[in-house]
This record gives sequence, structure tokens and C-alpha cells, in this order.
Amino acid sequence: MSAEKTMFAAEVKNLTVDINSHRVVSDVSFTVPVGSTTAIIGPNGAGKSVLLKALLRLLPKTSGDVKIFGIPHENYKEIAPLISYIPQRLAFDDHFPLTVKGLFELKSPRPIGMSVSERTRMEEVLELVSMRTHLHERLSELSGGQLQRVLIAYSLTDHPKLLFLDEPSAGIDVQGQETIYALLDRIRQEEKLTMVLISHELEIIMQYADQVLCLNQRLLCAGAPQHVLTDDLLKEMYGTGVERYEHSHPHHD
Amino acid sequence: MIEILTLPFFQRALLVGLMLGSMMAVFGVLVLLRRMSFFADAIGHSALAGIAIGLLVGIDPFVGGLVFAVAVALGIAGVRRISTLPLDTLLAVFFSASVALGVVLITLSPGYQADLISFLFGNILTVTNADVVLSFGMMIITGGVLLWVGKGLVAIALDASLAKAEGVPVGRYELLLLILLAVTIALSIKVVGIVLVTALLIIPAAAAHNISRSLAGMFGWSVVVSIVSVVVGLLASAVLDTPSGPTIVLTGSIIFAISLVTRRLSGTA
Repeated sequence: MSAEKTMFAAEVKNLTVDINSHRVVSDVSFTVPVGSTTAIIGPNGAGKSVLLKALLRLLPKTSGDVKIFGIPHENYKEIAPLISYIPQRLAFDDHFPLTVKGLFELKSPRPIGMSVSERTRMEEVLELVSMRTHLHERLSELSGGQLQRVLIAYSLTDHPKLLFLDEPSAGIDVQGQETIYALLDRIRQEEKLTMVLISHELEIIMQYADQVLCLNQRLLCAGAPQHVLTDDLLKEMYGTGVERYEHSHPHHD
Repeated sequence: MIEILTLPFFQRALLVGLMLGSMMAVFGVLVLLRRMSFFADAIGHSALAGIAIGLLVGIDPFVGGLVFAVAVALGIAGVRRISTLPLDTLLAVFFSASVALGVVLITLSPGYQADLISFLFGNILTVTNADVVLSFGMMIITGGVLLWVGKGLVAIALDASLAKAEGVPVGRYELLLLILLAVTIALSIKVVGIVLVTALLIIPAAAAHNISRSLAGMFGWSVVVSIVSVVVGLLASAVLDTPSGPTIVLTGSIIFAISLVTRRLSGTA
């Protein structure tokens, strides 16, 4: 399969996305090397989630080319087994009666329940995120951090090669954020994954990302975080009061 | 009371009620999880216009109702794609337009107005052998389809974007659900009537939601509540000589009230 040969997990060329005739993503091009972690940053409304959804064909693109492991994303059926997506938050309500085990059962092709090997894999991935003991708890009863861990485990079930995460630490306290990113980095290495994630935590990006893409409708930078996250660029994207500088220059708050 | 069980018309009504009640109970869980009850209400009420058209042109009014219900379901799905209006607004338009059309057309067909009460509240005397066969066929089809796409529908209810990203054909599955739902609702009108058909869909699922913690349990309990409501409701309606629909729905409502109290008691325990 071409997926094994290409150097890039994703290749995006001149991608433009309009929503209700309003340009949200404009002429964006970048590549995601296999095995890397790419972080997409940008202010609110910069088009980060829209970009991610357009790559996954959850939203229609206006123009441009997207290839996932060399396969045009129009052939989504071929791509689906290679990727996993973790949305910022799930749209279910507080009383949705689905347990952690029930969630994993949805992945099984069996009409009801799951096979022994599927159960073993479920326990394996839940163990990876330290959530194996929560099998019979309802999703709605888990904390934000616990649910995120379960979703990460869920996304790993079918051995994907590329993981898309929309703000994996949204709704988690600062201590939990560190742990989620450390966990993701460990999983990336153990499962030999490529990751593309949206994030606001510049400190964490500095630590874990190989590549950062700065988006504000257009792509303002692309490269290693140490090189591209300059003062001028951050000011251009966010204006003043940037999170990264809050530690060293608190008076900017 | 035992005597009534030996009467063919009652046996037919009971059989059809049990089959359709079970299907509605399963659909009800999906409708509840998707917060689609107003949608189901719109489909149910739209059948009135179809029934009226059937009366006017001289075909079986329930066939007219069935066709019209499916057409409205597809119409709502289609308009939803091209309109930016919120779904509940679109539903309100379809809902009111169908009922208005139904009432105007029924008024135009004199001689049939006496039947209106049957259409609105159900009449087990109208259940035929053909309905038994049709309900059975529908149950087999629905059962097969739900075994095939049921997990996908739950995944869509959980989060449509996540399901789509995983390769679930969201649009096609939703369409399938709408068509099956419309047919089942239209078939159920004979037993419970247009006004209360949504209750047969929602009440068992709502009671099951109070009773069960897991999704599998919710489907199971919904069917149990529906079956008890249909059996007790039909028997009571025959004994008390009340319309079948409201009696079944009242029985279901009592079970719902009990489930609510049970939930509160166990919640505070």
C-alpha cells in the first residue's frame, strides 16, 4: 500500500475553505512528516478546527489538494482505517447512557457486543491511558481528563497511523494538560504514530511539537517551534498579552 | 375479559400492537438520544394529510398516510440540507402545513368525518389481516436493518462528526432511519391514532431511561415497557370501551411515572 512508502502522513496544497461564502481558510499548504507531531496554533476564529475538519472531509473544501499517506482524501474509505480523530468535545448530553465499554463496542463490526480479541485490544489501550478500571462507568460521569483519556484509547483501537486532535487539553486543569501531552507523546512513540493537533499551550508546543503551523486564515509560519515562534509573529497572530510571555513578563497581562 | 382474547379482531390488534410497539420502543431510544421527538411528531401528524388524500381519491387512507409520512420525512431531510433555518422551525412549518392540509381535505370529503376520531385516536377494529402481515414484514426488515446499522446510529447520536471521521456513512444511515421511522409511525396510527403516535415512541424510551444505566438495558426496558403498555392498554380499552390509543398511552404514562419515582428514590438512596 502506498501508505507505507510515502514520507508524508499528510500533504496539503493550496487548501481554501469557505463557509457560507465567507473565507475561513485561505490557500494553506504544508506537509506532515511521518512520525512527527505537528501543532496548529492561532487565535480564536483563525480557522484551526475548520482546517482540521476539511482535512477529514467533515467540511467541504473550496479548492486545493489533500493527500493522507499519498491517498487523495476524496477516497475517504481508504483513508478512514489509517486515521483517528478526537474532537474538542463530544456532542452528547449529560444523560447519554453509554458506558466506556459500550463506546468500544460501537467500533466492533458485530451487531451486538464485541469479540474476544476486540475486548483484549480494548483492555490494552485502556491500560495504556490508565483507564482500565473505568470500564463500566458512563461517559457522562467521567471527568474532562478521564473522558479525554478514554477517547485517546478509543482512537487507538484500530491501530491508526495518524491521529488528529482538536485541543486535546480543552476543559482540563493545567496539571492535567501536562499529563495529557506527556501521555500523547509516549503513545506516539510506542505506537509509532504521527500526530496533528490544535493547541493553545505554547509552552507545551515548545516541548512536544516537531513542527508548528501558525494559522490566521492564512498560514503565517511553518517550521520547528524554536525557530518560527518569534515575538513579532506571535504579536501579529495574537496581538499583545501572549500566553508564552506571561511567565517571564507578567506585566503584559 | 378472557373472552375478548378469543375474538379475532382483538387478536389482530394485539399482535400488531405488540410488533409495532416493540419497533417503536427501539426507535424511541434512538429518537430520544438524538432529541428527535418533535421530528417524529411532525411525521406522525403529516399522515393526516395523506389519510385525507386517500379518502378523497378513493385509496386506502392508511396507505395514503404511509406514503405521505415517508414523503414528509424525506422532504424535511431535503429542506434541512438547503435551508439555514433551525430544524425545529422547519418542523413547525411542515407540521402545521400537513395538519392544516389534512383537516381541509377531510372537510372536503363528506361522509368520512365520522372516521376522523378513529384516525386521530386509533381504532383496533380497523386492524386487518393484511396489517398483521405488513407489521410482521416491517418488523423483520427493521430488525435486520437495525442489527446492520444500529451501532452506527448510536455512534451518530453520540457525536456525528466523530462517526463521520470514522467512516460511518452518516447521511445514508440517517435517511434509512427516517424512512423506517416514518413507515413504523404510519403503521402504528391504526392502533394509537395520529395524536398520540409519538407517545408510543417516546414514553417507553423515557421510562427505560429512568430505569436503566446502560444503553443495551435502555433498549431492553423500552421494549418491555412498550409491550406491557400495549397489552394492558388494549385489554383495558376493550373492557372499559375507551379508544385504544389513549388507553395504551395512559398505561405507558403510569409506568413512566412509576419509573420516575423509582429513579428518584434510588437516586437519593
